[in-house]
Amino acid sequence: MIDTQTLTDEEFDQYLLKANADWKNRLFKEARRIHYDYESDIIQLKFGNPGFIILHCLDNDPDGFEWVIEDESLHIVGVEIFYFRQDYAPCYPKLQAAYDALCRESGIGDWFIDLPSQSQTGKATAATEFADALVECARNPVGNQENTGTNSI
Amino acid sequence: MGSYHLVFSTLDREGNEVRLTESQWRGHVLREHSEMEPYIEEIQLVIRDPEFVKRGDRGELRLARLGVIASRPNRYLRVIIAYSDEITGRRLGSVLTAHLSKVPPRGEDVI
Repeated sequence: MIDTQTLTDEEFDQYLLKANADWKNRLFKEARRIHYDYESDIIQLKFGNPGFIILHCLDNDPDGFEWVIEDESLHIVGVEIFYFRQDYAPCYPKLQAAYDALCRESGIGDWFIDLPSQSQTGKATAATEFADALVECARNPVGNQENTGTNSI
Repeated sequence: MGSYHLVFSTLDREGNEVRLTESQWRGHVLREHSEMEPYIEEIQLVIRDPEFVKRGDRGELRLARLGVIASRPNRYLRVIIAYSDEITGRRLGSVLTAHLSKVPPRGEDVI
């Protein structure tokens, strides 16, 4: 395995693209965990059980949006968004609707939800739809709708 | 910010007190970034002596320093702080989160 600590910025971005050619398919097969810190308005959606993680943003990503990346493999293992409720969600009607639906099921406040859930409750359904909407928005950021994903990831 | 048990209280480069509460550390930072657990001292170092200071859209400060963690020499340790309004010439800062990154924080330059 390559030592990602020694990569230049250019090499890092190239390796990141290569390591994540299949990320959308891979992520939908993984277990997901939603953590929302209501007071700080920071949401994190994380997939699988990654090792040491770092955050990384690309040039076209909106302010406050970060990819969660496993530092050794450079696999995308999630997203983390600052000012989610105040700034990010209102830009995406489908995501806002999914957030509102999850609020109705889970209550307004902090969330710590593991997916897939064995239960068939309204909360589990709303959480799954919310996680899917979040991934969809990460793939198609506002102002970059023509692309299949941020910076071709 | 929730529980007032403190993980630490330190001063930023302007002499403002910056706190990390137990609830924010355990309830947010470690839940999302468990890899940060051994690096409380390093987080304080970034607060006291940052290499980058940027201001976010909502007034929060985004601090960073490269190579603070010896095993990750090419990663920035980033710390985000929200400040209260100024009282008696000083502001109180609260650590919102801390994590590593390949790139320094974005935002408006703070002189």
